[in-house]
Amino acid sequence: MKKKTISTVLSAFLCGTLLIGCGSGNAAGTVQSTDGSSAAGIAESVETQASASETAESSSSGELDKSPITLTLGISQAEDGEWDCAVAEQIKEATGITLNIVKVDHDKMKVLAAGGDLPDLFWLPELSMMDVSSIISSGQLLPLDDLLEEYGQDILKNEPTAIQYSKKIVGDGTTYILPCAVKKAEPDNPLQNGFVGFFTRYDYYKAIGSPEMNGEDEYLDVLRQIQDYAQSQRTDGKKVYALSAWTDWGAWPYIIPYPFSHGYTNLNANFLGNCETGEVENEFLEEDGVFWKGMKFFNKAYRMGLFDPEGLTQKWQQYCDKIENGLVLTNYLTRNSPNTVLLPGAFEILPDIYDYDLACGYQVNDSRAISTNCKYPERAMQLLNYLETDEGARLIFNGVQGEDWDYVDGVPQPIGERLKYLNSGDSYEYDSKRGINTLEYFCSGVQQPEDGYPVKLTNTKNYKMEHATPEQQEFAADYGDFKYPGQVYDQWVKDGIGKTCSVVPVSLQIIGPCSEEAQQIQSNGEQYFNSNLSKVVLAESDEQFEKAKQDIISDLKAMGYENAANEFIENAKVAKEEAASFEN
Amino acid sequence: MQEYSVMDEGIVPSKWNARTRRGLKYLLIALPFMVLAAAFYYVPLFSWAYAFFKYQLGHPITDMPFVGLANFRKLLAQWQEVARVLRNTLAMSFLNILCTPLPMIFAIMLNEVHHARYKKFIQTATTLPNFISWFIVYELASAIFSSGGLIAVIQGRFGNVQTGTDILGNNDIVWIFQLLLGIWKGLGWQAIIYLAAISGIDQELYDAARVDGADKMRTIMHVTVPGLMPTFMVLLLLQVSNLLNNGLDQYFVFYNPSVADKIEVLDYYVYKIGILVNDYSYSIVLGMFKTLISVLLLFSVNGISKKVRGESIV
Repeated sequence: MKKKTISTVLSAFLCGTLLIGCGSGNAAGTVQSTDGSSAAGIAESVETQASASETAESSSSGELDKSPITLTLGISQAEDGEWDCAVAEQIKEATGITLNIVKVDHDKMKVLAAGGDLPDLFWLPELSMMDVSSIISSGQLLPLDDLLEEYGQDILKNEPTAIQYSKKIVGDGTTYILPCAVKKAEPDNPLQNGFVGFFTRYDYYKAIGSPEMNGEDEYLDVLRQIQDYAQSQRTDGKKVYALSAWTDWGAWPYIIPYPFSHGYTNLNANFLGNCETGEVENEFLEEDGVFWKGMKFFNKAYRMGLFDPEGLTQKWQQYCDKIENGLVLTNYLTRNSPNTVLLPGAFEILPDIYDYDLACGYQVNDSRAISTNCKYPERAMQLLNYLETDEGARLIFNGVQGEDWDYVDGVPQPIGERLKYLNSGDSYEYDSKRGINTLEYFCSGVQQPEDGYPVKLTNTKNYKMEHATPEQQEFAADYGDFKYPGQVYDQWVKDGIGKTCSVVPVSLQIIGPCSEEAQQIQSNGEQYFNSNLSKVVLAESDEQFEKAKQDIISDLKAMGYENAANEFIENAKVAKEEAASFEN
Repeated sequence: MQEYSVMDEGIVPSKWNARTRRGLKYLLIALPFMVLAAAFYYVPLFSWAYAFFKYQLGHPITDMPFVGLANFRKLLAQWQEVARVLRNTLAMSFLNILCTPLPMIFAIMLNEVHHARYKKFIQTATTLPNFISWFIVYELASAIFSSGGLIAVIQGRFGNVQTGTDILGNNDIVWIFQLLLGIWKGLGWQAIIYLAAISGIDQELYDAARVDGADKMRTIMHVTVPGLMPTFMVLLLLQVSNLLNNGLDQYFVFYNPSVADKIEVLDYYVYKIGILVNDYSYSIVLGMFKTLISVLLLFSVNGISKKVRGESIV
């Protein structure tokens, strides 16, 4: 009898748990997203409903409503649940909005969109134009034009071209998304050490006598000397390579540093755009284009023994470890690389040494939007606009005034604990804990505060001078009376030793979307190339390289890639004609 | 004397009631698992409907344009690529099938070890890798074979430059390498079922073999192996029916451009087409294609088994 009772209870329990497990995910999420108790969840729900009616009343007057409400925010750099940090507190104080984080990434955002469960407001993490268009046509994104007009004046002021792009190109006459990372050229304030390119170990370059270079072949020769020297300095026997790469960012190492060092920028659909002429060229089909020249450069490096074959098997973190441990001597991004610089004469273009004009920002990528699930669209727009103000932008990038930064002798600068962490060279954990930079894509980034200093206080000249590494200072001093590498690059441009690109033409940023079929073929082509790039980079001879290249091109053509590429080229022509109407 | 109870429609034996109650109890116990099986194996089959539509993110299926067999025609148009992926899938599956006896051999060997502590240590050490995720296995492989790994350190000890091995990027041995990783990870775990089967073999058979003068090897060959054959055949059949199910995790973490040509199996390809290329509908067609072949294989092998051994599992 006892056995029977136990087994019956057990089976009933199993059934029960199953039913609970199959219950509404939304309901569970609501409870968890408050403070973990169901009572709190219900209380909040009641409070939310009450606030909704208050908001509706106050919104009609257009005033900034600060009554307490909760919004769900889809971002990737914080954990699920109520956002509990200094920046969130400050936002709550300034706007009355408590933010509940829904941690999203590229794939999760698609799942949420497929289920109609988008958070109140969110960023679109590297979603393609095709996906964004689908979400728009499904009616899940809120039209923003009226809200922008009433509550988003700072956004309209800061990124007019980007909004125009969003309205005309993405939303077909309606604004649904707000592009991020809009930039304005700042030729008077060079970046500390550029952004992307071929950053090479300066200490080794100096050790081999700082040989002069004229072009990339000589650069490869210098890299060989640097590599030999670095290898001779190692006592642990570990193999050193001048160049390497990683595999988990697709073909990034081949699409960015080399074309950017020749005045190109990357576009959608496997295209590169010439920043000077505004012309576009397909990476794969343009046989004499800059992309294939770049692949040839890497192949040459491989055949000279300069390219690390593990560059085609390792992940980004392994690459970073090698850079940090001196096993790879050239980095393509300045971050995590305090002792590398752009060498003179290696390439004609010194890419990204200033912030440049990027009127449409990252376009669809990483843009912001409000979903139709949002019960408080006015408040959501007020929040977005607050983050776009000088005050909000300073908060996003620097933390709380008086705690993380403040005016010292009239100059805004990092202070206290944050300064200590910045001085130590690793403020990532501290910043994450405080919420600093977590919302970096929730403002355009072009604010020019009245105090005359950059929004991001680590971009002030003083900060850059004080925080250049000893190696960077040595490089700057060796090339003039300078304090950080950016000043040297700036001087090279002024002296005509190098050129830079300070504007990405609007025509390259407003290219309309291709048909869905073409976009799928383009994605397929990209995946196909990624799967075959080792055949090109690791080719043992010119003939093998050429054969691998031709095989890739003919296979791509066989899958209809040429037509898909032509569609993009046609759209680029239209964009060029219409660009004038976008210029402000 | 038989007991009777009065039911609505007459007099029925109380024995029947007990059976009903017992059946109900078993049904209740089985019900959650039946629901789970239905939820995870049959409900997803509804997504096959998307194969006939042009998938649009965020739209209900009723709003998506009906495209008929267009996505199936894509399968034919891209047959060359699908054939390459099928080649990889079948190659790795056949290599796995060739290695099917290994867990059985390992279990027999382990069963013959009489030092209890040593036996437990071996069994634990070989079972544990099964619980390690493929991501950790990748990290381990990287820590052993890369230029900063164990082999490179050993090279260094002999005064050589530490280059490591290019095994993670060697397209020529990728099938064998992945097979060995799979064996290392699953051998101990797969042997458990054989160890259980060995313990179920009648001890009198061993005694009789010993009385007949059989040595250890003969006992194994004539008692243990025949005793394990039914289990082996069932597992073999299941493995054959899973011929196209290589899984995603292993190939996802070990995928890189150097080995892409040979490591892309059907499961990875479905992921690639669906998530990376954004062609969901076509990825569903690929999934359907895979299921269809798997079902055909299962019934074929089941039929062969029925003819050859007189037994079937389905």
